[in-house]
Amino acid sequence: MPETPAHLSAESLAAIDREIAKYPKGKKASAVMSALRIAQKEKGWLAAETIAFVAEYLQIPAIRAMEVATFYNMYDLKPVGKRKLCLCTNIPCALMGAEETAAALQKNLGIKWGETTPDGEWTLKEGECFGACAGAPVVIVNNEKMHENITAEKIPAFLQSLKANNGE
Amino acid sequence: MEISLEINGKTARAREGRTIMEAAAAAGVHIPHFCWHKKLSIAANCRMCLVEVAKSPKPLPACATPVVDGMVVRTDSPAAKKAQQGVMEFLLINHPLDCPICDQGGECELQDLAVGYGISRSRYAEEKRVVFEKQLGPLISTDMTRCIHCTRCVRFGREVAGVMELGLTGRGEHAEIMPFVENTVDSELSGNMIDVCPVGALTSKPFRFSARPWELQTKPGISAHDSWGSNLELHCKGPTVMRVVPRENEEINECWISDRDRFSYLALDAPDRGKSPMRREESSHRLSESPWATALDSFAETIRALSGKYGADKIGFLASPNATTEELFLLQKIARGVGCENIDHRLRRRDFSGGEINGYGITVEQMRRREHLLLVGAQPSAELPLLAHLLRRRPRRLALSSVGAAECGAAGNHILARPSQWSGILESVLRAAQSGGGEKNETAAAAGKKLAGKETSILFGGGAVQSPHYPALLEIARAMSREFGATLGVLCGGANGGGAAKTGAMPRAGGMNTAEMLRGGLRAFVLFQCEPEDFAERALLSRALGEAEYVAAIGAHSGGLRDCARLFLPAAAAAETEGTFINGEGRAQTFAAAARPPGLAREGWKILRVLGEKLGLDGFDFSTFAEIRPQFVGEDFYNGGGDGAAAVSKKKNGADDSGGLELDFAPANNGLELAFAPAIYDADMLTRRSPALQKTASGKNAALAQMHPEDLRALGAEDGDWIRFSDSEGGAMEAAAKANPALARGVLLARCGGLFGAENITAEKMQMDKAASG
Repeated sequence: MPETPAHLSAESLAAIDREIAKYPKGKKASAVMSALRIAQKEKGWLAAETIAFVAEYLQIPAIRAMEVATFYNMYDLKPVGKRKLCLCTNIPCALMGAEETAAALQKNLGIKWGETTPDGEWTLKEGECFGACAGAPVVIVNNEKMHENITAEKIPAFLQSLKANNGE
Repeated sequence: MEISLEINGKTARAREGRTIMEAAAAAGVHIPHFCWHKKLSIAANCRMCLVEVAKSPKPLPACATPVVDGMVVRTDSPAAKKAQQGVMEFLLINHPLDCPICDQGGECELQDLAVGYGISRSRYAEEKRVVFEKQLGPLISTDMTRCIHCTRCVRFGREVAGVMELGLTGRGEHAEIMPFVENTVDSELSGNMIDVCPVGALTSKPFRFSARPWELQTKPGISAHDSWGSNLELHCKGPTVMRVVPRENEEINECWISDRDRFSYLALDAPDRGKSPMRREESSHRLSESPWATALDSFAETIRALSGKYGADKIGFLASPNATTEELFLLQKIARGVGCENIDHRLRRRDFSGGEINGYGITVEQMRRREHLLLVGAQPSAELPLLAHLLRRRPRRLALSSVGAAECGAAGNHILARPSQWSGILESVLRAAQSGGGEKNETAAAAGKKLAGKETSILFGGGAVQSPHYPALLEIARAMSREFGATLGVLCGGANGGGAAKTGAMPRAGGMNTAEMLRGGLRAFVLFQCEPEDFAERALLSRALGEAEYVAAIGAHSGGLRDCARLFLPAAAAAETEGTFINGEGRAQTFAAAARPPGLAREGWKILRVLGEKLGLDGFDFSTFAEIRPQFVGEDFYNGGGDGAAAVSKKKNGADDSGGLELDFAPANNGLELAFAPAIYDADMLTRRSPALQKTASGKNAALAQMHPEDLRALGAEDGDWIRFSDSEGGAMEAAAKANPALARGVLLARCGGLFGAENITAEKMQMDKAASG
């Protein structure tokens, strides 16, 4: 494939190849979710060109990869900040105070759902059930690290710790 | 195995594995549905077909639930009705109530089912969502707010058109049907998306807002563009064709038609449509209108005078292979009546040695079941879009061509090579079939082994028939036929592919074929429904017409001949005349006129009848269309199959010099070769004049000179650069270049406007100042 800005690094392609190898021969398309995740990790977000690159790599139509990228919440189709907070607002989390958590997050960060702070540090997203209702309300940072029982009063300290630990 | 179930209290039988939807349809029970389509995969996402099944706690989708022995289904119980009404209410939540301004109004599945199965009011009082329109190209209009997300269009693209151009992005409330970024829908079957869309989200752009379905009269028709013989339904308002949709025929086109069949009707009122006879006086430089009587008399007089002066063998009759059987029959009768044997309909051919094949040699049904198809020089998506559809469903095929690797088959089933290499490769395949391997080219060897002893059909595409190497290819194909009983056929015969040759519109002993006529220094030409663009050797034809003393054109459009014709007689186009097309399988389909020809234009057979009468020939004193038919030779004229292998004549040709087999896939050193792939929307006079088709991506590409990216790079040129092509016979043409990675190295795919030769074409990048003015 020609070298374009959407071209992924050798490490990312090797990671995608590992995912492809998990499926039977000729079923590359099955690796689309992993491939998009790996691409997003490298690029920070999924531009249309990146999606097209991934689709070509997997030999599927670009729109097929686009369907997947737009379906799932954890794919970012716009640039996001250094720390992306995704708060679940489904019923168990809401019952346990997710709405207050949401208000506190928005007030502390000064942004609304789907927005990024002007300094590019924070992005706030509304999430759907993460399957960890026992720890509601749940926040996932950068699609990977889950934080449980994040009630409104914990927010200032929570944000401080994220800042200190660089998102971890 | 058959099982028995109960639908609405009646016992029904169905094969195991069938769905409730199919079993109910067979039992005469209609179950409302949107996303289910008999030719597409099951999605079960609209939920309209929910039915009550005994022992199931919830209603089940009939389209996706297999029948089980003893199943008790109710489609009309209170529970089923409640489910249907609930689904309908949901579907209508975001659907605008704009039926009065919607093009689908009156033929809308949602409208019908809302009346039949919905309730008269909605409990939803909140705002409806709005979805922006998508620009899908010149054929399909969108009103995406109306979309109910059945995904029929998406599945059609993936499963039938062979290319997924639309997808369902987002989720839930945010779901939208869209192309990738801003792509258009370019497949050659894309118009069928309009038909499969159950609502007014995808509608026909050219037809938009021009008529209501209840104003339209439905008339049957037959495709006039290719030898498939697709069945059409022409929707007419008064004397005018307003749109064309498929007419179901499971044996031929199933329920699809190509975009060419669907949108070529737009050419019926092209600016150069002939509405009045026109003549050019000796002194004048332009055609001027003339009464029919004068025009017809002048034709008869001139033909008589010229055959007296130079002899009737100095006249040439050339007819489109898309003309009806009756027209071709009458035309050859006139030609032979005045003592002339120079008549041909094989306009896209260069070398006539090596004999004739007409039709596919097998039926479409056999094509679906054949063990192997060997396609030579074919570009199915451009030549026969529905063959391309057939091929996508059957993997057992081998293709040899210079264009379109992807569409002809998966790697391993396809050999991409220059036309001059084909006979060598084919021979290699044959030898591998005989000896069981040992050939240099692995694909050819593998192919040969596969073909040996199998039921194989060899089908030649336009690329092969137009090539100067056709006789050599025929020779090898015949050897294959002898070796393992392969049938032979051609795909590119035109709408009357199976009938044109039988009408006698071909030279017999002593007559000239097309190639000879173009070089024979003829003094007069009579052209029937064709123009220079319809010929393989366009440049030669233009020269021959320019040198002739008299050119008479009978056709629907005058454009291509305006400069050289001395007489133009306006004839009806395919939708405006009765006639018979015999398709590639040999199936005769007679059709009636759907529309009236415009102005003073008349049906071709009527014009030819009067011309015959004016010339004082026998057998032209009939008055109705039905009287033409009994004049045909032979009882089984309309029912004979394609000629196939049996009828192939065995003329020897000297063109086969492919003794030593060296298959190099490197670019040719001796210049470019023409690829001879007919552009899909440059097929005939109608497609060329349909504005919507010309605006499609394929339509626009036809004007470009397409070459392999490496060949283009070797010239130091890139997309959009103007290139000058010249051949060794003094022909030249200029065109903007486009890189096409689906081409073989060393070939040129272009409208060969000014070129005389087909090989040894040299290319040169033109200077920028010239490009700017060009």
